[in-house]
Amino acid sequence: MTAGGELLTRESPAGAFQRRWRELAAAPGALRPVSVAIAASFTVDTLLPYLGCLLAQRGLFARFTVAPFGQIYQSLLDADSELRAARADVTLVLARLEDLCARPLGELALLDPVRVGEARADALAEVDRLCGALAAFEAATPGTLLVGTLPAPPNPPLGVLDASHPASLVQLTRECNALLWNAAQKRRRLRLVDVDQVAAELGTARAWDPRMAVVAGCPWSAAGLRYLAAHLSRAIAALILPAAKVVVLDLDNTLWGGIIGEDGPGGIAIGPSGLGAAFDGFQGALLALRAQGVLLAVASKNNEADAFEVFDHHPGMRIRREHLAAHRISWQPKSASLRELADELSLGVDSFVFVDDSPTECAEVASVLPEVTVVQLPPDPARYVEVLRAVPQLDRMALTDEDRMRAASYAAEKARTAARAAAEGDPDALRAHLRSLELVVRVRRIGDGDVARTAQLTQKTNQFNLTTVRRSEADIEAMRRDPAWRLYALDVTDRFGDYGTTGLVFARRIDDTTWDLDTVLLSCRVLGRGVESALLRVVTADLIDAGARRLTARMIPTRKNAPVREFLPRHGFAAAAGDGPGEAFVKQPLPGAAFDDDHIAAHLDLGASR
Amino acid sequence: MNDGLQERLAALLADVTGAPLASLGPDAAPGITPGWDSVATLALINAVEDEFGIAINTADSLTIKSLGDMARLVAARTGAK
Repeated sequence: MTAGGELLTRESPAGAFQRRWRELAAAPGALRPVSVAIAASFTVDTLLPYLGCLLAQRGLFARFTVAPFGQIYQSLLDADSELRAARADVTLVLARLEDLCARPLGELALLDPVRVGEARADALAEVDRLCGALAAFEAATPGTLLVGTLPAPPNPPLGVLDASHPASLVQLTRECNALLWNAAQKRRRLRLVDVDQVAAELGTARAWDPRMAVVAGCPWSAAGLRYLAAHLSRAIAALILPAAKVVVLDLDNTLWGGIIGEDGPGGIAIGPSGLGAAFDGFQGALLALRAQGVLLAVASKNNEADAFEVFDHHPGMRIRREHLAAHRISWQPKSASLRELADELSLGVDSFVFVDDSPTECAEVASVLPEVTVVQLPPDPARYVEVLRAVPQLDRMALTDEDRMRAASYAAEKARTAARAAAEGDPDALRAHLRSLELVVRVRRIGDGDVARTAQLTQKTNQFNLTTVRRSEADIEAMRRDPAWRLYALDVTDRFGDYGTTGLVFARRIDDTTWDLDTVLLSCRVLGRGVESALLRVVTADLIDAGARRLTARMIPTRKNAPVREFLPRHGFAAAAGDGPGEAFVKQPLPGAAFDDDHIAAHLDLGASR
Repeated sequence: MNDGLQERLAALLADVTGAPLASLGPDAAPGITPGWDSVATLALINAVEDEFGIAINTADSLTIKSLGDMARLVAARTGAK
């Protein structure tokens, strides 16, 4: 991949990782740097070559900072600690119950019926204290805090009795992990990584090595370290890299067993029983991805009518026509179909995962479109789900409301496109079409629940973006606390559905009567409907209430933001003198002439925030 | 015979550390030889146990401070058999 040589996996030998990591450290090449700070209750140096190599295979070069082991609290809480000073993109905290709660666990082991309850409470209080330190760190630093769940201690002293005894260590670990989970529900930049599950997946007997604990101060076996690194690398990469947006599916022997053109609807395997159950399970896994915001599309060599006979009428199908964001069912090469699907969905093929059982089709797509993630299914359909779940490009570490709504909004967009096409070329019909959309624009101040989406919009919006200033979640939070800023979000709905939060204006008070429009952006999904005019109208009115008598703004041209170039002149802004990047504009007096947006019901909703 | 033992151990160490074989003499040591960390020490012990059919306990493994130490330990065990 990005680093030379064979692909390293969690099964590769230690020496191969050591050699590769030395080569990478000497010459990271074009890899994207990512800073990773680690605090652990045991020695983690041995983990770094594995984690570094696996991240490099995702195009990331990890620069590690390792806090002295056993100093998790000091590292999290002391403002001058190495961990805090690192201000890393990702800060990883790995602890074990045995290290964190050594004293209460010692008490627990005595099995004194009176003290067992106290010792459990002490251990839970200790983990609660850890949660407090994690929250304090999250609030004080800009990156993401990635916290390992506590692995269940191997070989508990009570042995087979542990499962049912009040002093159960495994049960105590579960309760401690529930506290961590609660903490993660309240904090967006505190994410968990299920270290306990990693150990379970490998098997307790293989994951831990008592000799390593003695020789290396690290309880993990060499195999355990590789599994841990593999899991951590997926979590870290998912925090840094954009997730794939579309899964493009073959049909015959992918979504169902058999070949529809030969076997007919009665002859294919799909449904709850027999071999069809394997495909039923795979379709369920794909619908679960769709619920997370991944679009499903089809690229198949078939007769379209045969294929849709199955989607529309076969009783065993779980994926139906309405679940597909787009399809190409024809006899052209699949690479050509993928290109067309990318155009239709306005997405790059680099956000595509292509899934097919045929080695020939997979090879064709991989050679023509190397940016596509190609997943060749194994011969046994019962294994399809695990192969799909192993695709790291589909990993996400957070779900926004937009993600959850994405599939539905693409379906609505298909209906809109059809309605718009009917009005093409006739200005009166187009006007009537816009009116018929029943657009509603709601402008509101950005709330707690908006921070992730807001940062994402500043990061991803390229076309209708006045200044293209990218901002992190921490930037947005700092601006929200600063009274000089007013941050507005825009929600758009029409009769076909909800577009969600698709626009932003960040205004900054310059003096008593002047506000600067630092950021104006709209997602391309809502362009061409006059929404930008309605947004500006509502924001201007609110700023006038705040004392504004003049607005300033600047337009910084980029290769991609042609759609925003005329925005300021068209809305009554005049070119102004000014230094700094781009072209300066000013508008005075306010509000100025009315805009051509009376087909939109727009309002400021001060009560609403997420 | 001792030369042969040193070479076999160096080959095992090269496998677990990824260090160039030619650089691994009797004075190769954890923390000095690239890639020889505590994971490599244990991997080397596992490999030596397999290769020579001996068992090395944790107390012995803590005394291994160089490839020469390992060679002496293996020679003592295999000679005593």
